[in-house]
Amino acid sequence: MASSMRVVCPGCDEEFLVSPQFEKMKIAAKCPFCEKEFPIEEAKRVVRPSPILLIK
Amino acid sequence: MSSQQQAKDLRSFLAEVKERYPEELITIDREADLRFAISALLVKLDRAHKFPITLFTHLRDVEGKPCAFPLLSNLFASRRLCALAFNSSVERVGLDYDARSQALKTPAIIGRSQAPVKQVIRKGSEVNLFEFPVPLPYHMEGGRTILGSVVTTVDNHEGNVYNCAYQTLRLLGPRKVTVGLGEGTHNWERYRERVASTGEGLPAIAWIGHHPAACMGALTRVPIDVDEYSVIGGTLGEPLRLTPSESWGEKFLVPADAEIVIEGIIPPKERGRHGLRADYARYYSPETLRPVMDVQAITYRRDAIYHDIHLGGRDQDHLGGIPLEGSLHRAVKQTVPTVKNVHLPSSGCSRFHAYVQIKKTAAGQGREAIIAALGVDRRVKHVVVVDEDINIFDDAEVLWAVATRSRWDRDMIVIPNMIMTTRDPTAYSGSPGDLSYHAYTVAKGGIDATMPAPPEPFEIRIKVPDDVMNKIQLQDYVGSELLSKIPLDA
Repeated sequence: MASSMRVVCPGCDEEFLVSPQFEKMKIAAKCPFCEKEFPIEEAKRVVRPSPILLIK
Repeated sequence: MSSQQQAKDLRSFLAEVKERYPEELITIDREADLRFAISALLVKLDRAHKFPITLFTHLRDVEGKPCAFPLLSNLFASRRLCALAFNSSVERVGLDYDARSQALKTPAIIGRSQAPVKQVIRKGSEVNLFEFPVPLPYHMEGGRTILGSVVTTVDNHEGNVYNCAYQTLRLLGPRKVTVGLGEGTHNWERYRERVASTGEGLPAIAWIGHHPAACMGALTRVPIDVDEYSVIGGTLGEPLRLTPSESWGEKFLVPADAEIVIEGIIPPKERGRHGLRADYARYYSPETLRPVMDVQAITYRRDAIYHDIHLGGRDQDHLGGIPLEGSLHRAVKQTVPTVKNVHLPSSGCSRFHAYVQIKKTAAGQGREAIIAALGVDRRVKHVVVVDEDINIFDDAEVLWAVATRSRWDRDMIVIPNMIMTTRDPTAYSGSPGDLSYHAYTVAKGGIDATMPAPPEPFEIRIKVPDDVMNKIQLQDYVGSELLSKIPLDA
């Protein structure tokens, strides 16, 4: 599913995937590397999928 | 099965493999770290094109303590061994699986004292799922997940109709997991109905480790009102032995010959993080919220084997793909009676690509076969139809047929906006993040790579005469020793 968001953890700088469903429901992201939980707006970087998806 | 015969289970199958193909069952005694090392070894075996069933005996559990349970992986990775499980052949195993799945066998019920899975019983606070060797397979994995778990639910109002499906359990605590109930699956429907009608949680079990024909039987596509324990009896070739559960007695029967059974309740509203995870498409799926299960009891054999699935490898490919081959063959046969075989190759994760082999007798059959195959399962995305002289178990030969027998202006079908699993990275949704069953779509299609139907002429394929091919043996001319030393090319 290419409509996942890529976020960069503010704790360990690792990049991982978050479902936009979590952002919509205001559920904290959880980093699989350092296990830090944080609101998505606190991510170091967020790359959201294009609404049309997969521009090649 | 007579009372003298041993019931089919994981152990009887491993004994058969050891006797007939001893080199395809390996034991790794050296300690392997559950964090990535198991996967590293299995990925390296994959890359070497070697797919032995692999038993890891020296492990530490999730908490880092010496683990009492060995871990078995790659049970389905060898197509030859899958064929052995069904007393079939590499070419026909999908078809034979399908034939067996149509011949239901009523389960046999035995007492708890006779059931191997009841040798150890733990209830309530004695339950600790962290004692099992649950690996962390890939670098971005968001937690430990039990992968070899067949989640089973029962409808007691309909005369004990059981539903079974491979659904993952993510460890949240020693007695709590999230359950990967996919929306639209029968177990999900059971859950939804139960909560809507009673407001109560749904009793469920997860069984781990059984004969591969029983495991694959759990993946058979049948209507929700068909008892899947009976279907598994069909694929197993003998009645599945069941025994009363610890939590609900005879109202919920569990497979007596499994290695491990986990019993619990899926409460009505609670959801938990079903974290980032690897999937069969070889990508990560983002975290989702899934129902949880409160585990009430676990039972297992005294020397239980923890069965794990090697994600993103041939193990997972065959587990899902071989049952699907039979379904596709049956569907295509309704419109193209001369269909010979179907293969879902690993190059398409054994879900996305389907190779359909037909004996072409009339124009249009290639396109008919494409349409029929695309309607069977939402994961089937590309269908290539070839003639009966093409070996559909060899990607290169299928691509040769595409190269020399297809004209894409005439032989390619593309259908936009068909329902697709979210596991396909190219599937798209109008509202990203909506994970509901019908939210994602993608273009699907197929290529008719068959020759024109007779009597239309076509080029003739080169070949050495059959009698000469049969007579000439390489080792007679090159020598067995030198032959074994010539390296495999890329």
